[in-house]
Amino acid sequence: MRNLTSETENRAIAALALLPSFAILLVLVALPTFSVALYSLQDVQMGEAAHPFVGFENFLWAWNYAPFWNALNNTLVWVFGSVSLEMVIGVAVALMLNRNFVGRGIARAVVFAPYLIPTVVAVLVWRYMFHDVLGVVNYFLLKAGLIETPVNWLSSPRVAMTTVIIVGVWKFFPFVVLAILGVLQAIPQDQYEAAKIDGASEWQQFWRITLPHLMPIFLLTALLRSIWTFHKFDIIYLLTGGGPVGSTTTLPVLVYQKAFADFEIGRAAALALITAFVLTLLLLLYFYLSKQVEARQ
Amino acid sequence: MAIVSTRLFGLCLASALLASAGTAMAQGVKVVRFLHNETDPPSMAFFNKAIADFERLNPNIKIEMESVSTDGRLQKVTASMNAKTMPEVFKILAEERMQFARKGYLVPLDNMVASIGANDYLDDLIVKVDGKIYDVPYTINNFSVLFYRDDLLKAANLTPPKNWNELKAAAQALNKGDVNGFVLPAGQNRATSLYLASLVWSAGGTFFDKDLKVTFNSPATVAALAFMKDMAAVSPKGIAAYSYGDMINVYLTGKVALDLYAPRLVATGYDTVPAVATQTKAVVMPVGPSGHAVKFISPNSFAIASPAVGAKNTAEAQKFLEFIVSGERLRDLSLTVFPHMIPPLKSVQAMVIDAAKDKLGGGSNPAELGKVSFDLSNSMSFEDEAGASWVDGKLVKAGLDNPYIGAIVARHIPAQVVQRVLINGEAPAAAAAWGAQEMQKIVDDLKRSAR
Repeated sequence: MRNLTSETENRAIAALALLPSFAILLVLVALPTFSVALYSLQDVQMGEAAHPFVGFENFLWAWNYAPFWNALNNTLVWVFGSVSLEMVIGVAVALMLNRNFVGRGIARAVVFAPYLIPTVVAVLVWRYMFHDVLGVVNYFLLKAGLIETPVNWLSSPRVAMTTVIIVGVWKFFPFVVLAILGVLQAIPQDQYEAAKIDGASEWQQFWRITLPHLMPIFLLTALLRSIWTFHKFDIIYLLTGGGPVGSTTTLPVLVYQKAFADFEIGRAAALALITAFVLTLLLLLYFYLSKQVEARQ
Repeated sequence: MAIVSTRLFGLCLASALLASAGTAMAQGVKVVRFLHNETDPPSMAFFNKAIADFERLNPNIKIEMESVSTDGRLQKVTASMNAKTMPEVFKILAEERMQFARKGYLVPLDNMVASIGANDYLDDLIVKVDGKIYDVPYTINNFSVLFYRDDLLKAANLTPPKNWNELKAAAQALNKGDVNGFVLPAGQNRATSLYLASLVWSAGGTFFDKDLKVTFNSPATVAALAFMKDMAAVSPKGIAAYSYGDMINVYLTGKVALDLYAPRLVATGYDTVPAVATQTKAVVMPVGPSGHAVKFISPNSFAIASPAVGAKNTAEAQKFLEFIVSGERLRDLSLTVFPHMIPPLKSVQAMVIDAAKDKLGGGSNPAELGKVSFDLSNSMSFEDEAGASWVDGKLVKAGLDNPYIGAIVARHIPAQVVQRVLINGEAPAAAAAWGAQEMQKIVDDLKRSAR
């Protein structure tokens, strides 16, 4: 009887202790999510008191709205372009930093620096660097004779997406380095020593030992970066504002434009929910892969 | 369990005591939030000093200043309105006035204007919405002054252009080596929209007629777009991303010969690149195909948000607002970026011209540049252009309140029209037709939601 009471008390204490976290989650996550879901079913214009119910009209509108498909396409290009480059560069740099060489500590600090600089500061600096007249990028390329006329890094629809991808990769490849370096340092050295004794080349060691160890975390990191990159807003908005002529408008930028330039909150909410749906699919894949990795380990 | 209960009780008690102590400390001091976009160092220094002076005189009021970029201001305002977290005092543009006032987001300021002196304001500056005043101008910006590099023009044996053809010919002649003949904004932003507007007006058109029908698809718009296309060919290649700041920064690199822009250009030039600034002279905007030049002026005002959008201490906000938009403070604010910030009060204009003698390198410069910059004749802005026409060589405004233009400018429709021509290579006539169609959609949407 005494044990039962104690267990009930413990549960009550646990519930009480969880209450603040639950309340915070409710206020910061559940309520806004519910509001967005509700708005997506209403015609909500900025500042209008009446929000007539319109059912799935906003979603139908999105389906027939050409800029939505353009934004979805841009988002996929942005995610694929950024993440693939981040992974390739991240792994290469991690492999380099895993070796012993003089000044390795300094090299690591330099590599991680972009990740630590606030995005707003970094992007504004890049914006000036990519300016067609004032920017140092064109200046050096012209000086080196690599280009004959200044490149329109931010103002050409054909180049602008490449520019934002360059900045995104610069900012976030250190995260990949961090994740991969952690795995590299945990690989038992005796496996390499045994491979060397057996006459394995450097390439064979990488292919047979390093890569199998890296693969689970590599996939998880790539997926995690895809999720984060998918809803990245600040880099693109600060660099190009989604332009020129919509060439860098991704889904988060389109949601922002609909809500705060066009003042169409209901439609913006529908676009946000569609974005959230795609992200949820990616998250489910992430959790599935995480479990696979755990099981394998 | 007893120990846990006692600790929980103690924790709750401590929290309650802290909360009540905080409330007690906050009692008696009222906070007024103040949002503006005058982010240049002299203006920020002015506001910091004015706030300190005001707080010294009014110890029960605390001003919390927030400054945002010009391009990001409207987004900040609309987001705050939607979240009902509006700062009490905020920067508002003329084209936003009617929409916000009619929604009940603004506090009437008739008493304040009367207290400052309604007759002291320049003509047409105080605008009423449904019989009430909702914003108080603190400066007017003239975006249509033609700045030119005197040394380059003299070297090419050219005189300052007086019409579009001369402007085009001069820009083409000066477009040599690494010097661009001209510069114009073509990003998706308000700077591009206002640039197109003044060219459309100078070509004899308007965006709306006197019956508030969309008249954007007109020969005047086509002429303005064709002119911009020609001028883009002698401008830096990256103009499709340019906004306000680029119009100054690029000119001050010394790589631009002619720049039709606001006098902030020379104010910044004398502070940062005097070598270029001292070679810079200014003339009034060249006339367009209509035989007239219509300047774009932007009256910048402050308004006070109402409790409907989350503003709290509106009475204290009015006290602060009157303090900064009148008398010596207005003079000092205008002098921060002379001759860009034209004071809206006649009495203060005289004070500014008198006090600006040592600005812009001294000599005759302040008077000459001030004269061209302060010339607001034949000028319009977005909110009063509907139905404007020329009668006996004089620009006559229809005196209409245009409830649609704010949404059209906020959605950057005119700027998108420019981009369609300059980036996509669309024909000016097709782009003008697209713009008119988009404007009509917005008008229809607004009419529908008003019903």
